[in-house]
Amino acid sequence: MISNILLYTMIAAVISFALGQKLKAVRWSFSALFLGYVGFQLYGLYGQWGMVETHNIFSLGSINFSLNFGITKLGWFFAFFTTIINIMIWIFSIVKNMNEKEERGINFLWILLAGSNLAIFFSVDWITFFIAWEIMTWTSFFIITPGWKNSFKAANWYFILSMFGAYAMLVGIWWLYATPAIHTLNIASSIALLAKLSITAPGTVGIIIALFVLSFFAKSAVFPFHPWPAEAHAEAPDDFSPYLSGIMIKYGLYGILLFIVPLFIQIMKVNPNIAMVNGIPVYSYILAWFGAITAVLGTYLAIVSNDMKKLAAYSTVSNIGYAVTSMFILSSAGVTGGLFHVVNHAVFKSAIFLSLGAVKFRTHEREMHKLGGLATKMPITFLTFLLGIIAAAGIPPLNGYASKWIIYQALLSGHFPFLTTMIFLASTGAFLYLFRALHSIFLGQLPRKFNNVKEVPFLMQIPMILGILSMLGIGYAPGIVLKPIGLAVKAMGLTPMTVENTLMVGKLSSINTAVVSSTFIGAFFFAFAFYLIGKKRHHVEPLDNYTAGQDPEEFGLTPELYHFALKFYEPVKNIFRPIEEKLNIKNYYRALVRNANSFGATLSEMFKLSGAGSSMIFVLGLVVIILAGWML
Amino acid sequence: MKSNYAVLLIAIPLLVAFLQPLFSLINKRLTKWVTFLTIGFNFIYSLKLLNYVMANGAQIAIIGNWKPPFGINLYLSPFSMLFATIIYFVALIVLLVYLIDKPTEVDDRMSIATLLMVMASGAITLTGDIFNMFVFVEILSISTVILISFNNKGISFKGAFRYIVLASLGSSMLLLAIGFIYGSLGTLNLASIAYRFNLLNPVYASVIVFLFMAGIMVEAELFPFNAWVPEAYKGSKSYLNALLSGVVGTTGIYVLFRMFITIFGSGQNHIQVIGSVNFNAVIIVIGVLTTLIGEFSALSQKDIKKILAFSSMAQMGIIAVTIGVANMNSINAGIFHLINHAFSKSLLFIVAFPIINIVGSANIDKWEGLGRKNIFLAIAFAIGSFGLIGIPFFNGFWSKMMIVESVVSAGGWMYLVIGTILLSALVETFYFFRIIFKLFVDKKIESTYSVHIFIYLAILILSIIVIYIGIKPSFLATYIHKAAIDLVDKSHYISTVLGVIK
Amino acid sequence: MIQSTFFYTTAIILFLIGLYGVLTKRNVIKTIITLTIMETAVNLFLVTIGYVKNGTAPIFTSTISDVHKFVDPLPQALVLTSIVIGLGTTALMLSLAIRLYKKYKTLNYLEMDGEDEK
Repeated sequence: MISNILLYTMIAAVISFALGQKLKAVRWSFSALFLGYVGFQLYGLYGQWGMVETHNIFSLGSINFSLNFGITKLGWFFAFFTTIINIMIWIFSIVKNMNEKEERGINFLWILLAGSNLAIFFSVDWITFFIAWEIMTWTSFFIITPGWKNSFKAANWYFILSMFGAYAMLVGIWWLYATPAIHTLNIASSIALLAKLSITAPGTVGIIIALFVLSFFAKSAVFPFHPWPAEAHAEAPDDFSPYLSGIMIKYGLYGILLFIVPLFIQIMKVNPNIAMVNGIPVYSYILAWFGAITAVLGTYLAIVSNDMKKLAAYSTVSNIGYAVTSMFILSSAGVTGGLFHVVNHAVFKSAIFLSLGAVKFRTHEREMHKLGGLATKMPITFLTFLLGIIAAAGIPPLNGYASKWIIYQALLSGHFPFLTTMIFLASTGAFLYLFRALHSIFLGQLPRKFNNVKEVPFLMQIPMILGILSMLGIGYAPGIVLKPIGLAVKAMGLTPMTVENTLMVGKLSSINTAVVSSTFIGAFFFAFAFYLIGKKRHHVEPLDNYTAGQDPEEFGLTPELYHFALKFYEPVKNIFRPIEEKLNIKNYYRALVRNANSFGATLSEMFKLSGAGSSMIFVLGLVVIILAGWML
Repeated sequence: MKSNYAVLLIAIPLLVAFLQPLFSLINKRLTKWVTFLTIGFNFIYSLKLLNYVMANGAQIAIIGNWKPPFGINLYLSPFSMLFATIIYFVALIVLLVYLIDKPTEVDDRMSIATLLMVMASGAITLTGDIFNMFVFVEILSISTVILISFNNKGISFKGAFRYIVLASLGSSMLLLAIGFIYGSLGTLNLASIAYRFNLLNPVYASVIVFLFMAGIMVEAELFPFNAWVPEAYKGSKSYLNALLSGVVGTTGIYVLFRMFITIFGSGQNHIQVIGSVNFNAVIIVIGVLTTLIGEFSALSQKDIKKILAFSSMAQMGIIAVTIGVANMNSINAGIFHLINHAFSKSLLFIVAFPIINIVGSANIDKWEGLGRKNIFLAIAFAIGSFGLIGIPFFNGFWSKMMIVESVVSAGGWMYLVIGTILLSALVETFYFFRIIFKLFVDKKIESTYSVHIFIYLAILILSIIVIYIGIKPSFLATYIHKAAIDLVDKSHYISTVLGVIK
Repeated sequence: MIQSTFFYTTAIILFLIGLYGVLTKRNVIKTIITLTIMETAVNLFLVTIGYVKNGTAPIFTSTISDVHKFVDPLPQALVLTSIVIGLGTTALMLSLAIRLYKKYKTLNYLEMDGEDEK
């Protein structure tokens, strides 16, 4: 069944390739419909836990390569909700790409990507997982950079870090296999065996965990791999950014939930002499801190960025930070909260990116100080963005509130005051950038050149409206998502939280979201009524305000330079500038690349020596080899 | 089937090569076709022999009715026939392009050189006599030098000269090694060398292996004996580089495999500490250095031929590591990767040829927008690179997976080795993706060059192979499995050639 | 009569002379000459392997039948082959030298800066 779905995906990709660029409306509609079919099939797979399909590829020597697909609760859950979000995005893509001059086979690659997306969630052995992971990496690379020069540089950030992670995982996989006590490629049994091995050989287990964590962190942009999302999101096609932020960045978190978290839980159960902090293993605690650092760093970087897509990307980084911290608490509430936040973030961040995509679709601008006042021109887009950032800030009645509530419950009930402080700091910082974005893009003064901007076509509004509905729906009744999450959490060996459709019971307190939501919605309408009956606004040109009637042209001023969003958080930036100058991780990466290049250039000079020079290398090399050989 | 006829694989190309001047009297283009047909015959015949030895086990072909160890024999086994077949196949595909390349006045001589080169490579894989091997290595390097220098550019002569200097140095070492072997063991037959090699004084044995290594690693493109690689590749035509990489390099690595595992090494129990030196470690270090240097040098290059040259150097390094690791999985992986590399790299070189003609430059910066002009070539280049860097469901993926597996399972300082290799692989992935990206940049290219159908044919065949091995590696796996068993079974090698030894 | 040690020593000396030349000379012709010297050294070495003091040709005649006096013929055959190969290589190298000279108007390897490095 699963292999059939994957096979159909391949065939769909080939069909899309054959349709070509001329029929792009057809191919995008076709792919959205196809994915709808896949979603339907996936829904039918619910409940068939433990089913495994094996396809042998070949065996040589002592290894047997085969593809194994199976359905786990966690995997099904991820597969289903990513597919739903993907369908939403593709509905948006139909119109977006119809108006695009160059569409460049993105559709073909994206279908492959959607297929590998499913394969990642359905693989039950590491080889299959790695294959799906690799296909996902290279297809997404070519979607981010389908032949635009500046997107290539951006995509490289993503690609190099991802490939680095992938190779770390590859070593980890074969290290697992090469360890005599484990010697399996099955994911589930490797967890159990690794946990047992941690009693006798904690060092090996630690290194294997580190290799996998590197890979997952690199994909999910956890510190120190946080630079890539901003670069990649900013330059990626506008309809791919929601996918990148909503789905792709979650693969690392899926890996953590699939392997690392259950492993830690198992280790806690079977290994009595593991070093603990606050009731969780030290490693887990350290990794939780990585999450907290990511959350704060992402928030800061989002605050100081002026590009709206970069801002949203850094916001993603910081949200990933919350989820990572919460997961590594290893308590039932922690894992549930992390997983729930992953879903919620996928929903609200794709909504945010869709609305940004809609703004860019009409205005072709990315920098916030060139925008403004679009709320009246694009009401649906505005509403989507508004609710998206309310969700992102974790304000009721939207879904972000529910998951953050659980995360705080987990952190406080597990007695992690410092982690809580970090997360709280990041969460508060989120207000700074989110409302700045809202104000700069949708409120304030409308630049004259955008006077004729219209709302996006209806087909593009559909996914945004769906996004609004699901944000409100999950916020009102978080139980509909938390119940399947409970199944997945139970499968990891934890007692799931007690939830009902509109009730969440935590260790410290419980909350009825229906009441909360109703209160907030009531309050909103109350305030909105005030807005309606209040005094009407009076429109003033920005330059009239600032230049006291002088002709601004004489000073070389433009409305953009007077836009309040320009250098909005310059003071914040100034405060942190000394730290940023010394500790900018991007500079380290840049230096690495530079040095790799010059290292290569130096080495290649060796091949340009004279004939005598190459003979010298020959003879000296031989002498060195002989000497070294006798010593080795 | 009489295995003695296998000598035709060597005799017919040699004979044809001598007759080429006669053919050229009729028409110079005729010589190209004669070369093509001869190699075609070799390919078909070796394929037949390969299937024969796969079914019936290793055979020997005795030349002149002198029984080994006194006479010269050819050793036909799954391993040697597999590589002979692949070498002939790659050569055949390259010749397909050569056939339609624009005629020059040196076509007849070039045909001779190509024929000799392919003949020598095939003969090296088949021969069972070490001096014979030396002679063929010499023929190989001389004909390669001739092929490179036919391009008639300054850099071709420089590259050719550098190659011949290093090859002469190497062949002196090789001849010295042979002298030592004969002086101490009194035989030149590989099987009897293998039989008696562990009787040697350890120091003496180490010296022999060191000298032999230096001689053969020139052809195998391994550092520090490979200074000829970039210039020679740059100097010769792009499709002929497929011969340099797919034939010369493959042959060099083949000899390393055969000599280090079956002849000098102790075969089945995989312990190859020869004499007093741990040659496993030596080869691994050489391989890792070659990979590192190759990939990083390729990163800094702009010229496609140099990039591919450094890349094939690096791949040879990776395969050398598998020779050094020398467990059964790594030998399987090494053979597999050598085959994959021969196909993917030939594909890349052959695709580069029409691209260079269309764009008018080998500089990859000028390749931008080729996808607009000719999507087929761009996709073929992408397929070749995917095969090389090991994207899932392309051929290189499986062999690289196996390599990582075998090296990691060796444990110890191999973790450092695999780290370095994967770092280099990261670099390689990056620069190949950079080229593929450039191919699909939106830019207009003005060109009137039209790609001949034969080039498309060659590209199509190789692309299909690359993808087919990627999707269904099991058919190749049976061959590789038998080849690897043949390679490590030292006593079987000896008893097949010399008869049963009590 | 001369001991075979003498030949071995000569071969080593010749080899080292050749090696020195190859490693230091930048002139193409000198490189070729020194490479030829190295080849000669190796050939001498090979012949010496089969050398027997006061030996005879390995042919049974009515007067000579002492096998221990026979010179090993195989190294001589090898050397003949190797000389022929060496001749071919030298000729090829010289022709390359001519081409290089025509292209760059110099025989110094370091001064050969190509117009076609592009």
